[in-house]
Order: sequence, then structure tokens, then C-alpha cells
Amino acid sequence: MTRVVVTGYGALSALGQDVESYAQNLLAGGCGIGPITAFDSSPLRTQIAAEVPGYNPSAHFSQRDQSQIDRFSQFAILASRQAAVHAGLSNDGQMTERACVVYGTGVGGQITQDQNYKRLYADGKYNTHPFTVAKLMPSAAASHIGMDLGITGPSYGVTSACSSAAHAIANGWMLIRSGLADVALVGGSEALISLGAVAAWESMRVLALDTCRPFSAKRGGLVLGEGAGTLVLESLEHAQARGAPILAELAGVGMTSDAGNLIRPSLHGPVRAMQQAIAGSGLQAADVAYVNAHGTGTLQNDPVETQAIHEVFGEHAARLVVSSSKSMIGHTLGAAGALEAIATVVALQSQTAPPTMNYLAADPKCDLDYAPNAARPMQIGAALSNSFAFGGLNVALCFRHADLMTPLQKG
Amino acid sequence: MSSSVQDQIYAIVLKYIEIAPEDFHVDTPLVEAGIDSLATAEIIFDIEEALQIEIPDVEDIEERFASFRTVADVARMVENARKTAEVAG
Repeated sequence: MTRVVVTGYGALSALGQDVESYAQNLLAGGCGIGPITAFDSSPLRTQIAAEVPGYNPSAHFSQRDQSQIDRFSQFAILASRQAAVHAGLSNDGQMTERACVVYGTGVGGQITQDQNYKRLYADGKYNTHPFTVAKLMPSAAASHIGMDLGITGPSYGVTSACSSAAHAIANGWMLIRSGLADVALVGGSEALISLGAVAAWESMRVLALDTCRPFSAKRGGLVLGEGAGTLVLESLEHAQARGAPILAELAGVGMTSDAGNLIRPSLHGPVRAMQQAIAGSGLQAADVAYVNAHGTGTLQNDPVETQAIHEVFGEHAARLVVSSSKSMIGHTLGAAGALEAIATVVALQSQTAPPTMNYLAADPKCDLDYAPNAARPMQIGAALSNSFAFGGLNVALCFRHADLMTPLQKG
Repeated sequence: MSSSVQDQIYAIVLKYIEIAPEDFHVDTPLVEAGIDSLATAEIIFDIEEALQIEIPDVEDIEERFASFRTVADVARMVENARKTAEVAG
């Protein structure tokens, strides 16, 4: 069976506009959560978000492009350019019909929708910008990445709320293993820090008012974030043939659904997803050393995820390190699965588990080692990245160190 | 004709041209500047926003495109639309 490896990645997040600052700040325990600057949030209870700091579209896109490309697609293009450069791929013949784009988003062009609805419903202007449709469609990011990098293989968007990017990564993995592509640009993007989206999330009563404290006592909920993450997946054979850097192996994926409640997290779905990912990798649960948790920081998610990890790992759970990057980058929804998969690869490369920041004190229902407030240098041969979405759509991705465990062989 | 209207329209269209700005003048055919029908839709939107007017729609998209031959033509059309609005107003 074709083995699939990670040869590059790119990221924009609250921890910075490039992947170097993302990796450094993840391990240094930076926190990108701050006051909302995107709009006047004073009428709301929620005053915080995890915005991409200092993002200036004019530094990257012409006025014309800005009028046609929503912020979520802009992030997607920039993260993908970084990933392509990181992987040493150029668009002069390497990115052709054998390359593909599979890209996730929770809602697509939320800001475009907000702005144009305001025209209609508030300003009484009964027309919208001519590119409204093309900007807000959830597949726009996949199209723009393909146009930007000259990719002409299968490309499409994937949407499954907070698991969107993880499903996109799993899908790219499947395309390579099926023989339909050699290279897959996969990931997800989200840019929804707008009055409409924040108000809607606030109404669910799941947003924290102070900061995001996953697995901690006194946690108040999640903090909305924005950003994009792209990974370059490649068949091992293709990567070795062109002498590409092999950063990690995406060894297995697990995908399940709860068929239960739209909002309430379940135990069984996540357990099966993690078990599938580990088994599909040809590993035992005890081979996994680190879990990058879904870890939203809500009252409901964190104890259920903790319990699911206990069920999957048994006694080995006590030896795991489990941390949530959402304490630093917020919940980036449709981008989360990708930004957190990158965090998992960074953990494998640096042999260091990124921390769970803003941790105050233990919650008796969350009794694992969460690397509270400081990164943990440790030996990591294999690691999981969890994504569990509203609607009960679960993904676990199992990454292996490029050479720490069984050596990567050709074929 | 108010030259400021023409200046404003020129500045808007400048955003959409695909030739060097120094080669683009009020009487340069927009087609030669790389303005297609989609860009025309965006330009109409921008002009309506900037000048707070409504440019009357023309059913036939080819005909509408043709009435957007140059910046000077567009400026004349906007002036006419304004006069019509005043008479109606």
C-alpha cells in the first residue's frame, strides 16, 4: 500500500503569519487571544478572539484581487504558497494533473456574507458586490489555491464544521493511496470574526469571556479564531524520487460519525476514530506518545474527550501527553484540523509536546497530563491529532516520526 | 461635463485595467485595457457606491458592455443618469 508522507506545511494563525513563527510560538507557549479588532464588538458580551495579528491584505493582493477573494481564501492561498515553498515544489511542471487540492472550511466567506447582508437588510441597498457568490462559496479556497499554484488534478472543498480540515487531510491521503494523485495540498481555512458569526456563537453560550483554558478548572468555553493551515502530502515514492524533505508520515486516519446529537459530544464516535487511526497505522496504542486534542475548552468537550482517550489507551493513557493548541490559536473551526495537524508534526520534528496554555488548576473530570503552561521535551514516535465536529463528525489522524520508528522503506 | 466625475471614474477603472497606467487615458477603449464584462459589473458597482447613483440596467449584456466603451463614455452616461434622476426627483 502506498505510504503517504508530509513534505511541507504553511500556516497563518493568531501566532503569526508564517509557519516559523507558528512553530516557535507553539513551543514557547504564546497566546494569540486578544481583544476583537475586526469589528465593533461592544454590543456583544464577547470581546475576545484569536485574530491573525497585523494582517494586511494589500501586502499580498492587488485591490482587484481583494475585491474578488474573501479573507478565508486569502489565508488559504498564503498558507498554501508557504507549504509549497517548504516542500520545495514549484509550479513549473511539478504541480500538474498529478497534484490535487482538498480544502476544508466551516462556513466559507462569512465576512463577505455579513457585509452584503448588511447592505440588504440594514442599509436598504438592494444589490450586492458582483463577486459575492464567487467570494463566499466554500469551495473558493480550493479553486484559488489551484489557480495560484497551477494544480490541475482533482480539487474540491470539504465541509464538516470543526473537522473540515481533518477530513480534507484524510481525503488527500485517500486520493494519493488510490493512485489518483502523487501530491495533495490539503488543509483548511476560516475567517469569520464578524458581528454575525460571533453573535451566533455567543447565542450558543459556548464562548469564553476571559480566555481559552482547555481541560482546566474554571474553563469558560472556546474562543473563536481565524487562520489557515496547509500540508503537502505526497506518496513516499514521489517524495523520495525528487529528494524532498520527509517531515513525518501520515500513517493512518480514522473517520466516524455519532449519529447522535447535533451539538452534544459523544464518547463512542471519538473512541472509534482514534482506534481506527492507530490500527490503520499498523501501530499499538502504546506506540502513541502524544495526542493533540480537539480540546475546545468547553465544559462539555474536555471531560468527554478525556474519557475517550482513557477508553482507547487504557493504562497507557497515564503515560501520554495530551495538549490543546486552541489555548494559543483559539478555535479556528474549519482550519483547526490542519493547524493542529501541523502542531502534531512540529511535535514529532522537535520531539517536544506543545503546551496547553492558560491552565489554572486540575478539573477532577480531566485527569490526564495536559503539559500545562509549558512545552514538554519527550520522545515522540507517533502522535494523534483529534478533530470532533458539531454534528458528531469525528476524525483522528495518526502521524509517525519520519525515522524514529521503523525506517521508511521504498514501496 | 463635470471633470471631477470623469476623474473619479478614471480612478475607479484604473483598479481594473491590465495595461500600464501611463497607457490608460479617458479615451482608451476599455476592451483594449483588458476590461471584460465581469470587470464591468464590478466597475458599475464601484461607481454606484462612490457617486451614490444608480446606473440603469440594460437588458442586453452586450449592449451594456458596448455603452462602456471608454471612461469618457461612462462619465457621460453617469452625467445623463444624474440629470434623469434630477428631472424625476
